[in-house]
Amino acid sequence: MMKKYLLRIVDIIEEFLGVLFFIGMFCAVTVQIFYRYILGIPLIWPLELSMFCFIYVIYFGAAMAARKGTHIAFDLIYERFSLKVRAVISILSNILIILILLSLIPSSLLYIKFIGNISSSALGVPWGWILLIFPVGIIFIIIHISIKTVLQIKEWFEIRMRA
Amino acid sequence: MSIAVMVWIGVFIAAFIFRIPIAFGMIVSSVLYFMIEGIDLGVVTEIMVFGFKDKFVLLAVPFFIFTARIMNTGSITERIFRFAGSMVGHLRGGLAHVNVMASLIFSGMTGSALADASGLGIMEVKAMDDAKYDRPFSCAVTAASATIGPIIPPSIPMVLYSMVSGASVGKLFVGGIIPGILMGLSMMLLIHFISVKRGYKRGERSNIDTFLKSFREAFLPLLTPVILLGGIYGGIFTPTEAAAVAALYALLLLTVIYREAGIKEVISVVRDVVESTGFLTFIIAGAFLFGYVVAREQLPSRVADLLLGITTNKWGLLFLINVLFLILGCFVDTIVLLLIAVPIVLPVVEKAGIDPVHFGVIIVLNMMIGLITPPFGMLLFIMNGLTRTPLSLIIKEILPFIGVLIALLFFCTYVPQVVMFLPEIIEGNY
Repeated sequence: MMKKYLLRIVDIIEEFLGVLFFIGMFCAVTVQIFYRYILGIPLIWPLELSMFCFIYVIYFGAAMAARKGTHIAFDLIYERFSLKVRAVISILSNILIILILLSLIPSSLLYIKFIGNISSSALGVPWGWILLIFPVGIIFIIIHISIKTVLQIKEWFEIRMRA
Repeated sequence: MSIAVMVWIGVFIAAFIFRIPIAFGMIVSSVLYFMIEGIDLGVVTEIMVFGFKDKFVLLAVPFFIFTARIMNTGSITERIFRFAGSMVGHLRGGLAHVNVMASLIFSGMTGSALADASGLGIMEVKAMDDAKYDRPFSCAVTAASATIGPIIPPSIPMVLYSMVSGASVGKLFVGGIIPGILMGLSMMLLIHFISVKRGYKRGERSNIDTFLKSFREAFLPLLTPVILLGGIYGGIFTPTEAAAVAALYALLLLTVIYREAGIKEVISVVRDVVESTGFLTFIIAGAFLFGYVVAREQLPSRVADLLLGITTNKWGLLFLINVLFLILGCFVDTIVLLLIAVPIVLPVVEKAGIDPVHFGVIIVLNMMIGLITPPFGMLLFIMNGLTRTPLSLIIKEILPFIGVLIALLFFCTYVPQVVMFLPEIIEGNY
């Protein structure tokens, strides 16, 4: 039960924030156009803000795509394997992805600690806040892939039990 | 070859075969390379986040996706379809011509072939079904005409090409206009021959009143390309800003002027756009990482030596690269080709004195053909998924279209003026 709530929270966070940052990006570009062309005042901060929002959108969007399984993959050869082989391949490759992504997190945090206090030029936001989306996004992706893999493994055992 | 490189290539190919999503395939193989070479993994964060920092042109991508989704949500696609119908519906094989014409117009508003096929496509196939056209033929026409989308501006693939090559987006966009129109015309010519052979009937000729009515209904959406291109070439907007203005305009049309959607529908569109942006840009992030290894291993100069060893002639090289990409396009997704293979051949292209704008337009055209060539053609899969028509039947019907497009590709390659005529004009005006 607890676990279900937790997952729901992850889903809501990534969808809500993804949409929010998209709207932020859209507004920032619009504000910039308005100021430059209508008021004749060129601003720099909206440019930076739109880029920050875009980077957030990328990683929340990637997490959403991982949940829905919409990341683009090539399945022409894979489709020719038997169901059993496919299940094994899928479970093993998911475990490989999870391990590799996990290995990125400690070094990512270290890097952020190292460089994160430097501020951006226009908004003065510490880069750490922008960079943080990388480990956060990666953790979300790991969560989604792990759930899928656990379900696959369960299914695998059920099939074997029946056989 | 070092062990690290063998692991890198081996894992990437294995990922491909075992249906690991392309973005993850690039990340996993590159991270393994980093580990073996002893490169600090903190670099991964740096590359995959800061890689985007100065690529403002990429912001146009989510805006283009958003505009396409908004247009497919309300009646805008339908209006364009009716307008195209009143223009060419009376020709022999009428609805097939309408199909191409509608794609041609729609491609001035959206930058992706897949958006074209999945929005307009359903409507086109249904209308052709009702008029008793053969289903596989309808699917083939829809898929083939969808390839015009990214050739006529705006264009997501050209934005990505501009990112990897540094060529001006404005020039690339305008360079695609004539080839795009030629694609439409040559497909219509092919449709005419097929229609005569199979005895497809003419549609009804619309009188001036219905034509004007459909034009009035489509008028506001038809302004989208005017805003986009006028803004960019009038020197008013950057491509990213133009994309945002077009998105804002489409949003206003849908919600305020036509009143076809409320805040709820718009939010749900945004959610979809965030997800699509996510899987698209995550591949780009992966490609940044993969590209780091490519550069570190100096692959481009090795490939350059290889290709220049075969021929140093500019036209020979273009032939070689075109054939290579057509073959790769049968198996590999456009975005992978664009982000990995194109940067590898770019140094050769530059060395041979080929104009990067000319090359950009023909290589995008080349990759669009890849979207309809079996066995791996995204548009074929989309038509198959939307209509449940067997792939083999669609493939049989689409072969003549592939032939026409390949002929056009080589025409654009060897008569550079077709591509370069408009960019050279605007260059004078800048």
